[in-house]
Amino acid sequence: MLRRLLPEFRSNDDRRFFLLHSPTTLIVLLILLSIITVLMLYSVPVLRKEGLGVFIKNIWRPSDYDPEAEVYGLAAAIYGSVYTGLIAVIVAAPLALASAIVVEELIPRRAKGLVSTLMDLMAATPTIIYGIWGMAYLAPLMHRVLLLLHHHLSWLPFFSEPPTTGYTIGTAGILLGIMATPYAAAVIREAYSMIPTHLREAAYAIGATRFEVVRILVSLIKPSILAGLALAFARAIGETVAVSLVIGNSFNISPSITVPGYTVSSLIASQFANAGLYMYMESALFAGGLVLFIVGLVVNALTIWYMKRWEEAIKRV
Amino acid sequence: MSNSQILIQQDKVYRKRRIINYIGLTVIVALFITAFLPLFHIVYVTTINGVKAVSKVGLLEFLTAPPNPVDPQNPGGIGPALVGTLILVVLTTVFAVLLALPAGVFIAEFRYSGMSRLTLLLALILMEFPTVLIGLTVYAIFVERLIGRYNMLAGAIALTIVVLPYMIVQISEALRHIPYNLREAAFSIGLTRFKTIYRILVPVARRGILVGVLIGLAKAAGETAPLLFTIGGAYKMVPESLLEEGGAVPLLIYHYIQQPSEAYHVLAWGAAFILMLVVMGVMLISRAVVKEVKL
Repeated sequence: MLRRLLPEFRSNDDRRFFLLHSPTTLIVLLILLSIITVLMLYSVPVLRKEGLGVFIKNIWRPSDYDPEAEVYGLAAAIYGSVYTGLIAVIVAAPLALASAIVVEELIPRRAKGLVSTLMDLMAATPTIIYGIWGMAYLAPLMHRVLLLLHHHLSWLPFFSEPPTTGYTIGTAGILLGIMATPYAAAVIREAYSMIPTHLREAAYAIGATRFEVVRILVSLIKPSILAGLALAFARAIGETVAVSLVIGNSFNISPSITVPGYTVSSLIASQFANAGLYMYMESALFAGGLVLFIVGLVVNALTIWYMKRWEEAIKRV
Repeated sequence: MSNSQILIQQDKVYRKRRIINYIGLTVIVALFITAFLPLFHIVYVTTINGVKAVSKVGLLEFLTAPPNPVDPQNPGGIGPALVGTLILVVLTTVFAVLLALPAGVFIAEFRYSGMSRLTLLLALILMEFPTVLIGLTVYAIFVERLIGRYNMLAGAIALTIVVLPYMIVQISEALRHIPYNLREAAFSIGLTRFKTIYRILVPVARRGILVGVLIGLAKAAGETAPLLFTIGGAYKMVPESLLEEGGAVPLLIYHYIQQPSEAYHVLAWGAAFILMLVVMGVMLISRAVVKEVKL
């Protein structure tokens, strides 16, 4: 085991160089471990008080006088995180796939640089700018769209409630989808460019149309499309400020996307400022952080493992 | 079936495939354009609103004066927050480069050892961490336990943790693509490994490394969530020491856009415009330095 951790040294100079640089591993490890430790330690008070109910109940009752009367449950926030994350994935999936295909397959090589620069800009735009744009422009637009949808499709559970404002779960989901698109697209593009050329040539050689070639190649990279979308989901549930500006911040558990809601991270962002006034609120927010951490870690670990396996598989083709 | 019937049949199939081809490609291109519409609209409205906000007091005034949102006629500027962001970005860059350079070298140099692969894996995991969790952790350790109040140093530490994995990955990628004979030449004239890497290979890979640093810098300038619980948010004046509360441009935008009065919104849009210019400028520069940028 230790053998595999260490490289083969050819000289003492090599060994010294290795020893000099190995603390970097410890530093990164220490950062990760301290995040985990802090999240766990700080969630202990609320867990001791509420038990696992803090993850299941939908209640948020701070008390000014009696700490024992405080009750916190993160259910609405967890529900909102998952719901907006799923909407984001549904929005990002076609957009990311289409932009990956266009960049890798349809446009001439000279335009490729321009489009990928645009994609980089989209990924690099600070989330707070997406947030204020969502607040000032997307939310009013969504209000009108959701009113229309509610008017015509209120028999569907997704549009069952009348939207009172544009600050809704649906708005947050769509904003997150827009923000996650370049990241998902990057993963899909990378996989697309790794497809061996002879497969594409073979498809064209038997007379396939462009669209048919695209369909064949896309079917080859299905695993990495899934990975890209998982990444988009993980990004979406971790996003904080942009969501907290458009989601409306209220504790709702409703199948309808037309009502305001909360996500775990927007709950942390908007409640943390006054959490210090109460005995258990800060701890409840850290417990929310713990949930985010676990969901994110599971999604990412699965993605990294899945992609590794796929990369090995495609190299054998 | 006669010959001509077969031909007609084939023609039908061919026509159907061609129509599907056109429809499919049109849908793909339409979705592709849709994906970029928000970006264009964001740039457009931020510029329109930003220019309006900045021209209200003049560019120099906007970049240097403290905000004065109670007076809608002369709302002031974002000077102190801009200085705060500058302090944070400089500190973050210094911290992150000092950590990321050896880590990147470690990953690139010992490609097949378990330890450096572990480092890369950990960096990739850290990269996908929600930044709000990093903010919470730094708050708990540096604000609550060690220093006892909101301070700029905690903000810089939080930002360092956010940008560190990007820099590590970018630097190790930059070093990985150096031709092997350069290294052999350096060894053959008797240089130690340390000197070979830091005197020869790092300078050769400087473009890629620079891009990694620039992207980290742009990210540090635009992140909001790690600052929410660390630097406090004092926008009226520049902090006198690193252990004091301060402001930053993204945090100012976040707080001001949620205020009810119009003058706050004007300031927020102006700040967003400046932030967008800086971040996009840095991105375009790094794009010009190397072709492939990994985000």
